[in-house]
Amino acid sequence: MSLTAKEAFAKLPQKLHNFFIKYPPRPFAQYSEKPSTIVDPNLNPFYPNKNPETGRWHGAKYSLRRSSDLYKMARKFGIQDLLPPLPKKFYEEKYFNKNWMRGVLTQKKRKWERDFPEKLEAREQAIAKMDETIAAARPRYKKQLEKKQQREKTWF
Amino acid sequence: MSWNTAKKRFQRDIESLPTRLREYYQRELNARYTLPTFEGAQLPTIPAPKRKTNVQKGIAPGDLVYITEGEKKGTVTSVFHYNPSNDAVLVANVTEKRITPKTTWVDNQNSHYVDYPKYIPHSSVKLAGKDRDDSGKVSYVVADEIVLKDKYYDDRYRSWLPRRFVKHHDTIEIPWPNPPTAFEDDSLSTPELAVLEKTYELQTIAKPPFPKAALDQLRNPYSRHKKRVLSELQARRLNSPEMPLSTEQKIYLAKQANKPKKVYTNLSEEIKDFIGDKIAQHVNSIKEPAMLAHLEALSKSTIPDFKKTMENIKENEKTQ
Repeated sequence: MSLTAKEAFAKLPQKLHNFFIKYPPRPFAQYSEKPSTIVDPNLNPFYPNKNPETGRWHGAKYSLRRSSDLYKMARKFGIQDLLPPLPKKFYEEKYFNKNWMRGVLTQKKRKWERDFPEKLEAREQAIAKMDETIAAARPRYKKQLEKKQQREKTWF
Repeated sequence: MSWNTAKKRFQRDIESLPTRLREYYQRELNARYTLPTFEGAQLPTIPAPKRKTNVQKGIAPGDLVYITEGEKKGTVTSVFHYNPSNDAVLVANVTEKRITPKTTWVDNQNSHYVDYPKYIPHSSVKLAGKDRDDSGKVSYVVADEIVLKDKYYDDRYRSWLPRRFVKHHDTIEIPWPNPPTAFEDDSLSTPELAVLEKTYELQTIAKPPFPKAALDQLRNPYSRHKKRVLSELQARRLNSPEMPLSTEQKIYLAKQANKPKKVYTNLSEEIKDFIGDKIAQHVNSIKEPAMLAHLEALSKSTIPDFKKTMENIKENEKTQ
């Protein structure tokens, strides 16, 4: 059994039908994606809009609860894209675009813990460059180094 | 209720102070208002919420008590009075020499210096019970502590009283003493029989107890509380006055009145087809019968606003 367009439209719930009468579906009407002014012909009923005359903000025509209701119902019928852009994310989109807290992603740790790898590396480098550092501070050390190299045992 | 709080604000509320301070101020008060010669040792007062009645304390006038402290330690006497504000008892034979002002003299008193009954703290007496064995020998049972259990109606006191037992000895009950003054009937008192006599009994709630015609004589049919109409004054008191509108509000209302009414039109066939296509595409791809049933039920859901919108559209079409 496959539905025709007319039969399918008859199945549209009153809530969505009522909304589309007041705010026609997307390709037939444009809606701003941000809060705009109440005189804007493209005003989005899901966002608060400003009265440019008085400078006061009008609350969203459809509250977050009501807009979520509409979205979820429209999604069940596969027409969620016809609604004006919503200020909220839903389902997978919401799940994958989570705005994580910094502390959840990486643990802050104590200051010494954060600095510790850097400190270790610096220490290793200092040990590796020890001879040069000593030689720079105490020129006589070069002779001592040479002697040391001579005394070094080799396999042959 | 008085709105004058100034007086209370500057008064010292002794009851709310800590114990030591309370005692100190109490002593100070006594020193200020009593002549030093008449001064008597005061027992500390107990704050009102902590006070207990003599029944709660398990002691009553006429009880025998064993004195555990003071000059009369080790003697058994009877209680005259229990003072809940000091948690103290007046007992027979415990007196102190006191100088009394002449205003408090009693008959046949001819000296300021008299034996005066002395309050002793309740903690320094123990309740005693008199016991007489078969040979007629009298012995006393002194209860270190007593417990109060269940309730019974005492005809002598004409009230409900708890039973007193020696603690940890449930078999040893110390009965309440006879009240010192028995209740006597007076010329105005109603005899007990007359009180207990039942003169009327409701038989059924189906029939009213009074004939309907008698009700008007029993109750005032013109009572002002029965009037269903409010007087002008009452109405004025119940309703707040209408606030006059400011000029800004008037301008706003005028603007709103001038604005054209919101008019809706039905969705065009093109849009209907577009939405229908989308829905058909989606619904035809659904396999689960449960989901289809759910959508079927959802599509039948109604809202009141839709009806209004459709009426608006109809009106609009009529005018055109």
